[in-house]
Amino acid sequence: MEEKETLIQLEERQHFDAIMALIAKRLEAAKQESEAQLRGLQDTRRDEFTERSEPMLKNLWAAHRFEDLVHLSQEFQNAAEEEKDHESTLQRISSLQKAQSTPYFARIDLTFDEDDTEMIYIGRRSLWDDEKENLLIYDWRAPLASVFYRFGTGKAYYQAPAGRIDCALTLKRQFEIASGRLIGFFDADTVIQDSFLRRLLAQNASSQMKAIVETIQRDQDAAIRDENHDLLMVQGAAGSGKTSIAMHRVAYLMYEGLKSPLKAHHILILSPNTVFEKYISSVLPELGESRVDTITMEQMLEELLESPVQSRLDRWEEESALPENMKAQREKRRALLSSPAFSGLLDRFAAWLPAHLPCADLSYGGRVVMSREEIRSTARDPGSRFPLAVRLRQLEDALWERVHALRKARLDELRMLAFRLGHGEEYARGVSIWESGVLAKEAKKVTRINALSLYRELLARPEVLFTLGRGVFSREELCLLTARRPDPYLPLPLEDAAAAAYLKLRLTFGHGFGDKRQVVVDEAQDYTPMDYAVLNLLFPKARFTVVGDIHQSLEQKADESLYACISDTLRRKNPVLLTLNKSFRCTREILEFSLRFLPGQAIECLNRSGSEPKILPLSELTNEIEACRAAGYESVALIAKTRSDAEAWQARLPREWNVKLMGRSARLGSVFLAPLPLCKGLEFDAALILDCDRAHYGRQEDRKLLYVACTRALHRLALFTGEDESPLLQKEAPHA
Amino acid sequence: MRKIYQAVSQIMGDVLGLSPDEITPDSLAPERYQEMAAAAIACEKTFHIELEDERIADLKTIADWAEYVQARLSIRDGRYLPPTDEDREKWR
Repeated sequence: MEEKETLIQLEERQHFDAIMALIAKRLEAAKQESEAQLRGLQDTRRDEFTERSEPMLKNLWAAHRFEDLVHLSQEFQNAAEEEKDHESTLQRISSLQKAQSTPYFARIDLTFDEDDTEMIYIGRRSLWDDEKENLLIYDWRAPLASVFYRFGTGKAYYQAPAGRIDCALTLKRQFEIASGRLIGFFDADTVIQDSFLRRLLAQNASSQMKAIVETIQRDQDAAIRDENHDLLMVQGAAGSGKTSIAMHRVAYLMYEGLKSPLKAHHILILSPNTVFEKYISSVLPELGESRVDTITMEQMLEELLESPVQSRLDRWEEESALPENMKAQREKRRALLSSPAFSGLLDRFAAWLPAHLPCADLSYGGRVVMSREEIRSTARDPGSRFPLAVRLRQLEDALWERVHALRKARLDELRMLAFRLGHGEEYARGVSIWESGVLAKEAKKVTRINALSLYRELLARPEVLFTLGRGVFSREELCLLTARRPDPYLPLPLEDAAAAAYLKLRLTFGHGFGDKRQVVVDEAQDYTPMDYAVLNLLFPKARFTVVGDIHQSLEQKADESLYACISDTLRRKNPVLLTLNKSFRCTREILEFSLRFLPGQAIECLNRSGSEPKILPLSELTNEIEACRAAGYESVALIAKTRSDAEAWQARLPREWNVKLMGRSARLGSVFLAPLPLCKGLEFDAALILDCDRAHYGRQEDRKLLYVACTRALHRLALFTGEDESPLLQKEAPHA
Repeated sequence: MRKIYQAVSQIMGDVLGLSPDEITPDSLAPERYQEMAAAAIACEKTFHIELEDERIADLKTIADWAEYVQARLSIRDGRYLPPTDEDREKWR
């Protein structure tokens, strides 16, 4: 038996060495190619720019040679193509260098017929053997590689482009390879061996999310490779790998082996904040793919409305400081504005608007060229397939066509007038420009729709709001909407911005996001129905991947109905909801402790053990930080409820501790202070939660906040209390 | 575009009585309709195009003017026409 194992080890070692030698050879060749390309590029630049283009540029204006410009543009194009080739070689080098570190991580032996067994090595990227013309390493995204993630030894199958292929999985082997060294390997019958996973998870957190191709679980793989649903929703417990799934899914959708792979510009990730954006930014490059566009809801709304919008963090900050009654009012108003009923009201407003547009006759040279009735009837046109804004722009075009037809005669009239007054041609033209300018301004008042102004106007006109909202909203609710209108001198509150953007999208179309074919929404529970209504109108042709956890919503109440609401709002074909109930992040002790804040919830946990979470008096903070440092933790987060709390703590803590404040651009590392909303989606080696007193965490709604804060910790958790400990910390805390 | 910008600057210089070096993007103040008219007439003659008065009223800087002239040149006869020798002669 021992002899057999040695033989296997020898075979694997030889195979590993052969692969490494091939990669080294390829790398050397690629480096030489790159150098040659670079030399060629430098020569081209010198020849083209110094010897030919420069004189051409110098003489361009003097000689008035338009052809030179065309020639010059061709030279630039050639240089750009050479540069592109060089970039592609550099990418290949980078990919081979990564492969040199870890060429593959798994092997599966598949038997298709009795005598036909294939050894398949799986890595982050494929490696082709030119001589034997076969794949030495399969990309983890290849259909065949799905067998590794989904099956234990025995019968298996995978979906190839030609259809389902049945096979038998006779061997499943996982390798530990790091820095170009084969450390070891083991054979596993189960899907991914838990001990291997535990060892990987016991490592320290990094400041950037890592790829997890080696440890993707069966249900995670199903979500990553799903191509059958236009709306894929994933409800996952804290630490279940939702965001990892989303990122690996993006990489999968860009895999060139697919029938219609997506390009980077086809994909958009909607992320909760810029810290999170930074955190996930390295995953795709690590998987060998280009970065994709990432945007926050606030940024998207700002772009749509061309107006500053309050950030989620600023809103959290502002509302945390409000007295309870005002906070409740704000929450009520926000819930109203974000509800499907309010988007219905905006739909009615969009339909009501054409008949009530403020407009007057438009005249040119004393003649009415477009009457008020004509404007209204075009705006109202029920048969038109264009939205109102487009119809009005068409109307403006029609207006100028009529003016052009009249212009010559009008200019003659003005010339006569100027002549009589003793002026010349310039005077007549000046009057014509003035007249046209006045008409243009008048026309634009009618034809250029400003959705934000219209939205503000709607809230400022109770009679309209009451007419459109009758039977849907109570009088009290409508009063609340009109009484608390957004201040025009402050950034627009997020909920108002979403409503105004929805109105704009109902009245216009085409907003520069049209090429997106896949939209990934992370932290789905933090978006409102109105946000989803905006996404629905903004990305009419996109498929959606929506991941979230209803237990981690910070501001709004979220329950199981969230996904039904998302599905109803996005209205995509074949919606599906997958649930991931196993947490991989925290130790068993931390997860069990965290679950005291979510009574009745059961979350499965990978059996990784660690120290018990502690509730400590503040005087223990120094000792705890020292203990974390002594344990070698690389990221120790001191989590405060708000940014101002975190700032206050920063001022209180000894300067020599060098505790940084996590902000929009701060790097994670060492010991740092972080406001809770910015911690969402992140993980730290240790989480030390500050201010666990009644004032900060006294309401039943704060349970979710504590759950979110506690589940950020991978290895160590401590909660620090003041004199008035939060009642929620008690194990049997009463809950509604 | 640079060529058009230079030509438009020259025209503005003539209209405003400034040398091209003294021209700044906002040399032409808005709502000075006489100067706008003079510039428009000169541009039309120079580039063989027709400028629309409602658009002229909106132009605020020399760059706006150059961009508008470029746009009008690009849609002459509904297609892009490179300048003819005759045009070039006029620009000299």
